[in-house]
Amino acid sequence: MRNLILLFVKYGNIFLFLFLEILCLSLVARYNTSQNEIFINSTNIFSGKIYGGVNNLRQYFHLSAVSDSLANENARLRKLLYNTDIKEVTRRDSLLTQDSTLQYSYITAKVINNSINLNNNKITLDKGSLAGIGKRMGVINANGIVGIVKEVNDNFAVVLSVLHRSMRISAAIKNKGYFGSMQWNGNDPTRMDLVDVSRHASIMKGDTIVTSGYSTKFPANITVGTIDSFWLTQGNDSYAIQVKLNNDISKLQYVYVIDNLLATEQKAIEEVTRDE
Amino acid sequence: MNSVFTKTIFRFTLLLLLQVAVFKQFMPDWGHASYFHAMIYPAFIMNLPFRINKITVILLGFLFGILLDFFYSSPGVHASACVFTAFIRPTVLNITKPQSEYDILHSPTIAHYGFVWFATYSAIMLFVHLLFYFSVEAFTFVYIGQILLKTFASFIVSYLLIILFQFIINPK
Repeated sequence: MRNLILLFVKYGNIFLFLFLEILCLSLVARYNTSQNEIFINSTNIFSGKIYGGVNNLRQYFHLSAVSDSLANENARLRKLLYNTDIKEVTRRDSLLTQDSTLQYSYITAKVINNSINLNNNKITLDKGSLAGIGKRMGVINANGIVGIVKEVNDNFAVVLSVLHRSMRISAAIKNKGYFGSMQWNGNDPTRMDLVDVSRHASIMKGDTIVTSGYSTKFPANITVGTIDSFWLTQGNDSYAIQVKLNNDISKLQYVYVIDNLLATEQKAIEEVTRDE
Repeated sequence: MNSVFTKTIFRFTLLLLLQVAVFKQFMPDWGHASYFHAMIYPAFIMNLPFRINKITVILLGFLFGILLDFFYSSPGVHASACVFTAFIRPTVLNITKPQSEYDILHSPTIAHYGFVWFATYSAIMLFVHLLFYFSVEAFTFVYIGQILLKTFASFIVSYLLIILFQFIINPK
């Protein structure tokens, strides 16, 4: 005990220095957004290369599964191609078809880092701004939604996974129109919560949940999952729904980044009426 | 002891006010990055009396830095640089030790140890402080060129200010 006190007397200033320095740096990283983003970004620069190498190796073991999923998707796209709903394409009142601009374009990217067991999970992609990926773009794959792009540099992008606690995604119940906000409670990587759904909604277990298309990040009607269970929240003013995700985030390989070509236009007009 | 205490409090307040009320405003823009930051506040840590022990110096540095951070709304950036400067102060004092040794009753000032001594001592302290500060501000060494440029530019301005401050206040 005496030795311990002597140790503190002798080296107390070093301990104090280290303690305060760690405290300061954590304050810096936590409360200054720019430093926080720099931290994410520079981790990206250094680790991106390494993840890329590791992933190349790991991919060999998943080749059959990948080719399966690609084949499935090919089949689905082929079906779409041959059974195109004519009405959908030539809908007269649609702004988009009138001047025949394309609203969404898709950028394929490979997942090179992923996690599902943290409170806030992130995904690293092997493409960045050079491939046209930008901040706040939505990310999907063949089975459903994956996340939203948070940071990009020239060759890499970091995506906040749907399994991130700050993630909010506007979703709706298919063919019924009731909508709410999807979020993750941090426990089960196969389930998310859909909250703030109107209590007048008639919902059933097994109903399909799709994206609402209200945000500029995701087009409407992308399947997200199915209703697992639901209950009225306290105060009885809205439903909370537990959704079983259609997508297995733990097995991501290839994803599509959605570039909404009309996003700025939509944002601009919404901005104008913000204060009304 | 009492006079040491009041003098320290006085300089603490004076330098804090000078920094946030006067020199924080002085930031000429070159393009979109400003390289010249006028920083007079490291003089507080440099001039602390010898009588104050190492641990108190570090604590004072932290307190001073975190108060600055409130004004700059940059939690932790100034504080970490001040803590670091306070921590290396004994080492720098040791390196620049004059022939006559230090007198425990004095403060490290021009009045006691001369201009040349203070110029060397404050140059080392200020440079280390600025380098650490800009590194923490950038938070990565990827931009080492920027960091060094800012450090040198700010060093010139701040060094003149600190030397000037010594002649004006001259705390014995």
